[in-house]
Amino acid sequence: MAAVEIHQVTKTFGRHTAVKDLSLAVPAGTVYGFIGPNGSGKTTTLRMIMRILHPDCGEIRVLGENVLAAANDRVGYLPEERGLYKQMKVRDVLCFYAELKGFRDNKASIDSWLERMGLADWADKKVEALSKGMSQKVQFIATVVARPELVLLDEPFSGLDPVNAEVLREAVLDIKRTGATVIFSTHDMDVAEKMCDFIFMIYKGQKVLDGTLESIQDTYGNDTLQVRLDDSKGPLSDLPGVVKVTDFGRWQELRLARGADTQHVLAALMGRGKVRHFELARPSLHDIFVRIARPDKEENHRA
Amino acid sequence: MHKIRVIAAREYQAAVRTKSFLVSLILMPLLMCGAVVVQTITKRLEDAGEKRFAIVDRTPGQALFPVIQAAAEQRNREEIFDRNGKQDEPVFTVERIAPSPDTPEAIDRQRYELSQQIHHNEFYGFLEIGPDVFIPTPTSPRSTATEPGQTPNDRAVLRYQSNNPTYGAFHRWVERVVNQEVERQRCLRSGVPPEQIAAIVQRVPLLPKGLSQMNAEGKIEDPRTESQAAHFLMPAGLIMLMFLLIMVGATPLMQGVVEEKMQRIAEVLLGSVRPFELMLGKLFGMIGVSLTIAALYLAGAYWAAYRYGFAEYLPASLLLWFIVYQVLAVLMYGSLFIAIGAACTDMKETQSLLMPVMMLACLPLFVLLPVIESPNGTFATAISFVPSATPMLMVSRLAVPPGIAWWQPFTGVAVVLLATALCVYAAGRIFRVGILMQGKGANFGQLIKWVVRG
Repeated sequence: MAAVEIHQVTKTFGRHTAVKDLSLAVPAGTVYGFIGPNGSGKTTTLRMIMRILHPDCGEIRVLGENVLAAANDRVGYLPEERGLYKQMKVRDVLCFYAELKGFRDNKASIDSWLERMGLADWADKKVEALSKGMSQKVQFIATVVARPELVLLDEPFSGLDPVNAEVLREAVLDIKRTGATVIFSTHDMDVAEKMCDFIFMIYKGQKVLDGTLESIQDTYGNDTLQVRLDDSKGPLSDLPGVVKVTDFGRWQELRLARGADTQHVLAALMGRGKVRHFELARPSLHDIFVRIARPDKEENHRA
Repeated sequence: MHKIRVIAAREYQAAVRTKSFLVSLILMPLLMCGAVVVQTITKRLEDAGEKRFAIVDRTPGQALFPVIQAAAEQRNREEIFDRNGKQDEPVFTVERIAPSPDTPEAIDRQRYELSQQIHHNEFYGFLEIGPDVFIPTPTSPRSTATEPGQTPNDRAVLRYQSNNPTYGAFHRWVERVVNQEVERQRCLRSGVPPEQIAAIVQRVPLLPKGLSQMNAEGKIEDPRTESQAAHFLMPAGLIMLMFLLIMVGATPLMQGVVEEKMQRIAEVLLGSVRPFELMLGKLFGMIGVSLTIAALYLAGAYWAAYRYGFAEYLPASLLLWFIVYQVLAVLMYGSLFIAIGAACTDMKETQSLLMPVMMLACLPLFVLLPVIESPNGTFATAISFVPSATPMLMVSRLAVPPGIAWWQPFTGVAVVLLATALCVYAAGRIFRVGILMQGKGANFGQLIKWVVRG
């Protein structure tokens, strides 16, 4: 069963089309990653799933239900911009959000979450006393404390240090293990690659990628060379069969033209310096993202 | 319904549990009574000192000065103290000034010189008694004096000159003293014994009373003597209380909505409740807050009325109507304030949109006087059915005996209910669009568009 089904949905704001003819099915019990450049329609899509915004046309079913304007108690939502009442105590604000979801006997649950997030000492402090990372964790607890079946997280990891990001990542995976479905948007391609069962990319309001990481990478094929040279002489962009070079400093990523012979490239590389590393790979999600969101002029030219 | 209750409970606690709430709870009656108290205190501070007056008595033999002096001494001994024996009025000291020769130039000269002395604070003012004050004139000099362009008969008037035209205590006092003596002298000249004067001019008192009623035993009861002040203060006080309750409740409500928008709390809330539920929750929270304040103040007012014997001016039915209209007014104005909060992105922007709502809320205060004086007049009746004014005006009309026709408060409730439903509906639509809107605030045109098109 799909936790979320979006069928040919379009949403416009004035003359700007935020989401155009979007269809998507999120299988239950999976972690689904939304990626896309800023302003591409991720948040609009999440808000439509939450029924905060209504699509101009098309249909959205959430957890099998099609009721419009229903703030569903079975869904938890962490918006991109965090909002907590600054004057309330941490425990009170969590209790308030839990009760809003109809989860009344919530004290034990709140305590265990605070404990887990390392916030037990802060339970009776006011929200305004918290650091940015701490209030983000409080906001996360507020999202999941009522045990939702579907969790929508808009940029949950942004602004967190590696330790806190790790805590949050563990928590997200735990939620998945209890059978809940998690949809989150992120700009961190590394996180998306490692955590998501499915990846969905939206660009200019339209779906450009949807599937498992493997299936996405498969459509691009093995067209990427990761190489490392000692004593490299000059740029590598003029090598035969290489259409693009991404220089990471210590190593380079070369994208091959369709049908290019890797043997020829290797031979040419050996003339440029001492080859330490040479690997034929599938493109990373980062690379795919950049290819879509920032198409090179030469590629456009070629297309 | 559960969610509305949770929101309402949070709003109520957020409002009531703050220090500013407690402070405003205490401050509000202080502000209401404060003006009176401050006035009394400053009056005492200012008035406790001595005031010196120059008297130019031009009557033959300067006959009136000794009378004024004796009266002033008696007054300074007996009349300037309050019940506790504390002086609360100034001492009047009078000084005889020899009158100038009786020529216009000399008189003008003397008036100028005395004026200069007043400038130098040697005197507070000076009184000039015309030489002919004992002679009754066919037309009162006073009436001619008030007509512009005519020269009054300066010879038969009391003339008081001072630099403080607003201070009236002295010239009222001296006018009374001089006239009593002049009356006495005129009587003596006409051959009437002065002792009879008091009997002749004694006034007949008038008692304002309510209507006579028959009690359960068939006995006709004498109605109480009506207190005009109490009948005026009761409706005025109730109307002020309702106005304050609306403002005290609605303003933080609007601030709360703007804050939720600015800090993006709104989006989190809308993930759990529908916009309309959120708004209703807030409104119910505000009703709770306003009822809390109303209960405290009304209990206080009732206690005070009971203690000072005015309890009958505050009957239970009036309190009930007050509560009913209070709740409706809070709903009506609260929803408008919420809509304004939702349409703006910071507090500054709310000012321009708030203006017309404030005008509506203040309208009853502007027409309060004519409505209380004639609560069953056409004007009062008509304007109390203008929904924005109904809660305050209907309650104030109910507070003035004999009250109003029984159907009027009920019809008023229906009218306000209708208007409230409209306001809540329109505000709900504005709220739904505005609450997620960031960036620039909306203007009136956009608000109407939101209401019509959603």
